Amino acid sequence: MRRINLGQVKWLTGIFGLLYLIGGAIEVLAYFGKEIKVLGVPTGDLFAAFALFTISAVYLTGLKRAIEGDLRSVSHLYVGAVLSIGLGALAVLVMGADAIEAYLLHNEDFAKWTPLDDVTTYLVLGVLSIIAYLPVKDVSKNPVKVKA
Amino acid sequence: MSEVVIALIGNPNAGKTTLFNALTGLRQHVGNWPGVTVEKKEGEFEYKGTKFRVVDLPGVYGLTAYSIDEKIARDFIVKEKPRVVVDIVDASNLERNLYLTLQLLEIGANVVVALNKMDLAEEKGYKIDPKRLKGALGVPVVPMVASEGKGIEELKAKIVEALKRKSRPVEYPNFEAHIERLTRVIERDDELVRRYNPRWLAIKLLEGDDEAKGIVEKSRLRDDILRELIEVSGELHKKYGDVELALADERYSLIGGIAKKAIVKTEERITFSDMLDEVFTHKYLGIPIFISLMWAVFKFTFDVSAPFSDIIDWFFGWLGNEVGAHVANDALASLLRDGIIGGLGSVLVFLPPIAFLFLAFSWLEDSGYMARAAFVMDRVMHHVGLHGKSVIPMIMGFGCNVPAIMATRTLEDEKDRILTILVNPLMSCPARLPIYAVFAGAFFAGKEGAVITSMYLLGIALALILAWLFRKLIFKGEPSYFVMELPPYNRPNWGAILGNTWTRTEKFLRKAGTVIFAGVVVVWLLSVTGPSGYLGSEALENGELLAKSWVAALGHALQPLFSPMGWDWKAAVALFFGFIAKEIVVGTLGVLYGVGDNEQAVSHAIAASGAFNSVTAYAFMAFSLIYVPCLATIAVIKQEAGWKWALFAVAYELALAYIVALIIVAVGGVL
Repeated sequence: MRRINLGQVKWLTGIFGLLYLIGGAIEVLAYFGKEIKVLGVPTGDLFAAFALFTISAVYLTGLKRAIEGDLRSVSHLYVGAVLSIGLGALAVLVMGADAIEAYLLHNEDFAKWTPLDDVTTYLVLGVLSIIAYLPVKDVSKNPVKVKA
Repeated sequence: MSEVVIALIGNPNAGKTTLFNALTGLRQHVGNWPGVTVEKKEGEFEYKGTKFRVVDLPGVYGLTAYSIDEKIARDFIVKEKPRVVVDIVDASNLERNLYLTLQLLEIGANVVVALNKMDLAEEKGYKIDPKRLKGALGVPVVPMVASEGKGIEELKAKIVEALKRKSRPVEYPNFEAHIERLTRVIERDDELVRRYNPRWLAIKLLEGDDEAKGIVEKSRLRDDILRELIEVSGELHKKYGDVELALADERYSLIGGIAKKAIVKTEERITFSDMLDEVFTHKYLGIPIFISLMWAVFKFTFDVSAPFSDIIDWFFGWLGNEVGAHVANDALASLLRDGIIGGLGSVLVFLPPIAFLFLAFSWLEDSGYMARAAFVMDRVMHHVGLHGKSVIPMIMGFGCNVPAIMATRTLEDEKDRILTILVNPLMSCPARLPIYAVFAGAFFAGKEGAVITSMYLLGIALALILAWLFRKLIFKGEPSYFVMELPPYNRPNWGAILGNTWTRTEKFLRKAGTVIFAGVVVVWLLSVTGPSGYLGSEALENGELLAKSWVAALGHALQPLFSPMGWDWKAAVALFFGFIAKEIVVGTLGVLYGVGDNEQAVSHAIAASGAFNSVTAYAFMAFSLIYVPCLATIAVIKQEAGWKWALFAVAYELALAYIVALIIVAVGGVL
């Protein structure tokens, strides 16, 4: 399997922890009416913000562990990436469902809908998280060999 | 073709359901065990010209008959005597699982060991030799990874082979002489020999098993057997002290020896499950992750299922119009269009979200996450006076309150059990979903996910507060802690997940086709008739006519009760009929607003009626969440806890629903 070093874990957990923190903040601002389209379309959903903050906390806890030289930081990077991609996949499914409403069922509520409307913050972050997932994708098959 | 009965047994999380599904495919039926309302699953398969009936026994750690599940499993093996008992042993937890295997061999069951999760054992660093295990146990052993379908065919072949062999009893070296002495006396009673394994009966008598004593009490040689038992027990007591404990020690020592022979290599490793648990059961991250996942589940449930609901919606609308247009008689046309088709459509439109919710929950259960959710919530539960084991029935309540209340049977303490039963209906089952979906769609467009999730959280919060209150006022004392065993994480087994989803969805469909359907038709009938007789189908579209109906009379009688919340008589009628099943609420509103089965139309009609605003609508959703559970739930509370607690549950929930709705309206009005 691909070898992973704690330096890499530090960078990845740090960057993604920060990105999800920003994503969560954007969702909260959107809830209060201030829409900032940096990482996709904010939904203004407080629960989405909560989920983004949670993923950020998972990554940042991993960062803390990686700085301490703790092997368990890999778990945080892995789970953070899996949750991120999972949320991104959910956004894709929602986009698919909306596409059916708009193009197949011609639902009036979706008359002006375009796929870009569903490019949410967590969809963009989910796609980006593939970068965080790749170095740890094999941990389910083999024990991680960490190079300190 | 002759039919051979085989039983599947194993520890919880050993992979029993996966194996059962792999063996039987879709040929399964679910019922209850005779005399108890614990799920009984049976299935069939054919192999080499023989038809096998597979009975799935409850997941148990032993056969001491301390719990209902253990009693069911033991009674089936002892009394029904299945030709083969397939014991699913988790290879990654070999020693613990072998305890049950030894007890099966004690009974004299014809055991075939399905050594499952070989991949996980390897991941944990164990290398198990199935041949050596077979040699040590004296029964066939089939290594397998059931979740990937590995070993299924070999297992079938071994089951067929096992039909020709005789069971081999397990021997306990330090107790052999004593067991044999007692067995010889028991064997003198032909009736006992015919019905039970004398050696097993002897071991159980030495352990002081009440059921075994009960069996012997009816024997014609009762005095001889008991005399011998007192003598043998006395000798053993002098030698070992507590005989039951000594026998358990003997079993563990035997298991240790077997494991030593079978496990040829061990190497401690941090497993994948350990890694995931590092985060999922983290002291601070565990609960936020759980809440985030629940939100994702509900988002999936509502947003992704929406087009499927719309297709059903469109179909029933079209069908109703087509049928209505071809029937000349107005009453009959209205019955078919507005009552039957409209009623059925108004319920079936919620089939997709309910199936999607079950799919998501089944996936989380199958992956092993649900046990973690229970684990992380355990601390919260204990703080509010609930037993740790209450977590499982509480989470099950999200699926359906009826089996969830039955699941409280795993709680040994009566106070803990009744407390868990009482707060369980506050866990939002999918029957409430249609109400949330319609009202959130009408008044919280674009924020449906958040609003609906808040309903679930409100239910959880109220359940915890009420549990704390009841613990302080009624069930005084401290709940005890418990240690929960976490199963390993699994890769999704879609066969098992879809099977589980279908089983649960089917129950909804059955309910939709009977109780809910009947309820909606009754609402239609009461809407088109009144004290003056038949009002005509126009009553469903004409407010003045509808006001002359029976349902209006009922609504107006109830309406003063709900006027502080600002709800009209139609809402009162919907809540009244929701007492039968919560799904009827939306169907009733559909009939009363004259829009039938169209979910969006119900949403639009409610929004346009002026009878609700966002605050009173939210209060209505909260009231629907809290007030009396459905009839089936009340019936099961009565069955599990008695009339007193069933009536108490109804009374406190009605009062609580009223207070919460009033608070929402009052606070919302100020904001």
